[in-house]
Amino acid sequence: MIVFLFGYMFRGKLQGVLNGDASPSRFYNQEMLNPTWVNQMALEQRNQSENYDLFHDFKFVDKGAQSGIDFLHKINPDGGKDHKAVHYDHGNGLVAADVNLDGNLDVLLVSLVGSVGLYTNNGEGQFSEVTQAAGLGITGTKTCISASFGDIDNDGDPDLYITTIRDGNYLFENDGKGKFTDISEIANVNYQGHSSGVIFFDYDRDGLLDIFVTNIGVYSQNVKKEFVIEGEVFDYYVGLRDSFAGHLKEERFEPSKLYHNMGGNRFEEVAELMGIKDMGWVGDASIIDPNHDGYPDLYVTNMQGNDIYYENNMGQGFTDKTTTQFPKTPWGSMGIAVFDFDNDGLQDIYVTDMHSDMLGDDINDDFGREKDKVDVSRPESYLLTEGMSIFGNAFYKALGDGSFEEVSDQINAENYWPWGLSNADLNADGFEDVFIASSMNYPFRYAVNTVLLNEKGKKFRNSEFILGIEPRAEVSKPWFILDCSVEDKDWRCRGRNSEVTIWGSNGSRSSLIFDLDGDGDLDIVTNEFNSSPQVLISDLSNNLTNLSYLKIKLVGAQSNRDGIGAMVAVETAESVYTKLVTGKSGYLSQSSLPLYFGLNGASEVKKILVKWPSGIQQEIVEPGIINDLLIINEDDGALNE
Amino acid sequence: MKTASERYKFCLIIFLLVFFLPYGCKNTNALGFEFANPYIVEVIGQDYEWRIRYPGKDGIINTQDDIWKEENFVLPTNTEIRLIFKSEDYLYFVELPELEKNGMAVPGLESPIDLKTGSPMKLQFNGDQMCGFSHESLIESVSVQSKKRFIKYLTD
Repeated sequence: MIVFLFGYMFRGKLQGVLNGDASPSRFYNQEMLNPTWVNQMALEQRNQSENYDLFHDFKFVDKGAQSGIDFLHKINPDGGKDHKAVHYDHGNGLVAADVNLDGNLDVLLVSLVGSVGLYTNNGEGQFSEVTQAAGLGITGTKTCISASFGDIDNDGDPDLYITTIRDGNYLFENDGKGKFTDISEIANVNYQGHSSGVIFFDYDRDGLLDIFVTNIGVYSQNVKKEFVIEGEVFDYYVGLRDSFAGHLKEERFEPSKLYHNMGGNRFEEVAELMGIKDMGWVGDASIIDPNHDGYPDLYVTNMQGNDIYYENNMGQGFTDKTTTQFPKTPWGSMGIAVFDFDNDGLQDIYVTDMHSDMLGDDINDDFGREKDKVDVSRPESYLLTEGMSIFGNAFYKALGDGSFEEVSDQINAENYWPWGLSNADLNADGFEDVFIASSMNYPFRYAVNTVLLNEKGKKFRNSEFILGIEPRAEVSKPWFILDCSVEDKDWRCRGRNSEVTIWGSNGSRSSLIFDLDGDGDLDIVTNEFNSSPQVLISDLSNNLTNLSYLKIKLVGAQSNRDGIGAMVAVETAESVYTKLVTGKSGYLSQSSLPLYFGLNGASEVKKILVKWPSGIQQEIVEPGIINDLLIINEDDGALNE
Repeated sequence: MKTASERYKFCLIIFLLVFFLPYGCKNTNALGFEFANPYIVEVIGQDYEWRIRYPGKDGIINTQDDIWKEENFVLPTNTEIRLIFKSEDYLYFVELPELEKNGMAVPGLESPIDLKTGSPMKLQFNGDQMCGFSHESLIESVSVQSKKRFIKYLTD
């Protein structure tokens, strides 16, 4: 009876039930600790997978504990003991780049509380923590959100931008050996506000990477509160209780920042001058180029309202063309990925939507509804989108004439409680797949991360269970302790007078897909909220006998050195695979990673075409390389590493 | 009626009914409660509780004679009603499932739900904090009562 009452009281939000006699100090929910529905979902997926027309006979295993990545993401009390509905739970990102130029891809993870964590890779999937030595320990005093790597000075090493909440954003210059120097102030990019995502791109194609920073808006009070984690004292600005009404209050808006790279590591903020005036609750962004003019346009996600599309006017400014180009967008957008879903040579757009899921009814045990769009019956005075919203994920299929068709439901692109997404060809069959970091945390129930394998460019197939990514080992963990004797006595104590452990659901925020152990297949690293990352190692290379792929790294000369904005097409006897170099690598983040082309068993590449941002078109016929990394230099042609 | 006494009693009852019942109603009306069309009631979320603000005698909300209630949520029968939801802190979802009405209480925003009450009945009234804890105290019922009982509720 007690279980029933509490179950009714908290419905989908699993604050918990008492486990009375067995564990008197524990306060948890049976469903959260033993979610039998996960097993049911797994069974259904395994049955359905018998009809999948794609290769899925491989697995991922979480080797986080053996990887050397001992990072622990930490949260402030607004996500725990003092939980409130505020945007502190939206971070955090993770990124990869070869920071010390040893040929191996290193990983940087961002925590809401405490320092970022930089881990160098020995090339075989073993990492060493080097944060302090790299000069990044100073981030520990700030509330960080995400990060991106980009080579701002074209000197061949990845520099680093980190966003924060009200503490001033960072720009670090890399010395080429993996040591970073804070140049935020002198570079004029140290905005102080509620920043979120950051991307590097070259909007005027002058060969220098500019910086675009999204800002959510004011969601914290001018009140600082101290808290302690494992003996260490931190502080933060306490969140506003009505932050989810922020999009209704113009005075809380913080427009995005566009920093034009002037050279010499100096930047000028030109957002308004260039026509970028987003007055919304924006979080992430990606470049796209639907009009194929080579000038990168911007798709900016808005988490409380409609998204914004800025068309680039030949580098001279941006025009908001949302209503003509994307008349309906998700209401609560989070992440974005731009890739060619069906190998038609056109770049499609996938936008995930978390906040619409929060506007609908809680989905408790009717898990089939997780694949449905949300029935939102909320007043227009709150939504403010004049009926032009999609309440769920959107997938915009490019039609070739610059327009798009929204096909998310036709291709099975919906999921529940998504944050950011990453795209990559997990089974190397030539079609881009997707990993969507998902799930709320305390005080909500668990939700699974979503893996969508691409069935020949026709539809996505849910595959998180058959690939071993779900169920994860632990779906919940102790979240915090309430001292119900005095200090924390509130309604959650339910008459208890001692310490009570409150449990919360695990949930990922972002993911990063790359070949971290150099075995030719793609692995996945996640950043978890209030927990340790998952390092999901693929065994595809052991299970796919005709695995074939090509990794391509671009080295710009006239163009920006990272080749951001370049279009690369790899042609085999069977197909042509096209990628726009966006650098996007997950939620709120951009990495410096080689492109990975799965070649569906092809034994050779016939041709590679690179359209550089400079306008140079480079054709490489029969490069004579496969299952390896090809470095393409804008000046010198192809060079096999 | 067999006796004069019985006839007397009968006449007395009729007299009382004829004169005092209307007088009683008039007395109620004499309390001065006007019912504007629609009759506007504010429902305000604060600290995971609902506070209800009714018009006073003038029937107009947001005047000095407004009546505040926190314990029960009562509405008059056979009345066009506009519930205006507000919040002093968090965002709250509201639902009147039998009427298939949904709304929100948002700080800085007035969100109306229009409805027409009929006979006396009880309606479920569900409240829920958006993106946060659910609280038992936000889940109530609405009691639809005759105007006479409703006015009594207001004046008690």
